[in-house]
Amino acid sequence: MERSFVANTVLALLVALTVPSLWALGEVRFGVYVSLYTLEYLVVKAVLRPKRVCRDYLAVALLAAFIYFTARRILEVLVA
Amino acid sequence: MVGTSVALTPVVEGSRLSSFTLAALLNTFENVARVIEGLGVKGRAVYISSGSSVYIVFGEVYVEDFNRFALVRDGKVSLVFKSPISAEHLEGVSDLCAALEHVAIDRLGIAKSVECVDRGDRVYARFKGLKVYPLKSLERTVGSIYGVVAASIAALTRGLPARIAYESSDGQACSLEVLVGEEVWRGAS
Repeated sequence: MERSFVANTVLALLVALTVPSLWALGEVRFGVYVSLYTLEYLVVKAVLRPKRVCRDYLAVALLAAFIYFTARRILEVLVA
Repeated sequence: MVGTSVALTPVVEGSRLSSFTLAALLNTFENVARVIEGLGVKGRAVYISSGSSVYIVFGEVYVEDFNRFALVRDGKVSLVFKSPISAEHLEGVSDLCAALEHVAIDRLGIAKSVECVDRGDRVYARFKGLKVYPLKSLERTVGSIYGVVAASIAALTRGLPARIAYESSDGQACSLEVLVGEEVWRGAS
């Protein structure tokens, strides 16, 4: 249980750090924020292995969003 | 995102099982092992979920009515026991590995940690920091307390029969493999 609590706390801290950091860098693309959230969530999940009441649908949703934004960016580069 | 993560985290209230209660539970299990050994019943223990309960069927005869304690057919015997783990002990946790950790670590307190790998029809679990030394008499019959917990939870979360395929313990850790699937039950009888 302590591990899950630590994981949620670390995640909250990382998200709280991400927003002002990216904003300070002048980043306005929504996809960049979502991609970093995904990275942070998956790293926390892999390292701290928090318990889940059901399948981790949040990880699936974040990964899907990450793939969507990354694919869109790759397409932009290829087409340009 | 953080809110969703918190919502997905199971809430644990209350305390672990006391060592006194745990010892009483183990004594009950040893009695089950004595009954099986005393009656000379051959076969493997299959864990079957029925409603919110799990039944441990030990023997060579295929059993459909779990209300009967014993079934004898063609000189072969099967005994039916009710597992100490039922759906209410999972407290809403539906993921197999999370439920295993919840029951074994947070509720029963029989190990310090558990590594669990769910491969669909096979579940591998390794309990570390054992609080209860697995009894050899139990391992030969229904399985150790770790096996009983793992197989019962596998049967409950999947709604399919489960069987302990392999179990070993060195006093510090207990490794086991649980098979899950309809063929586990058919193949056992």
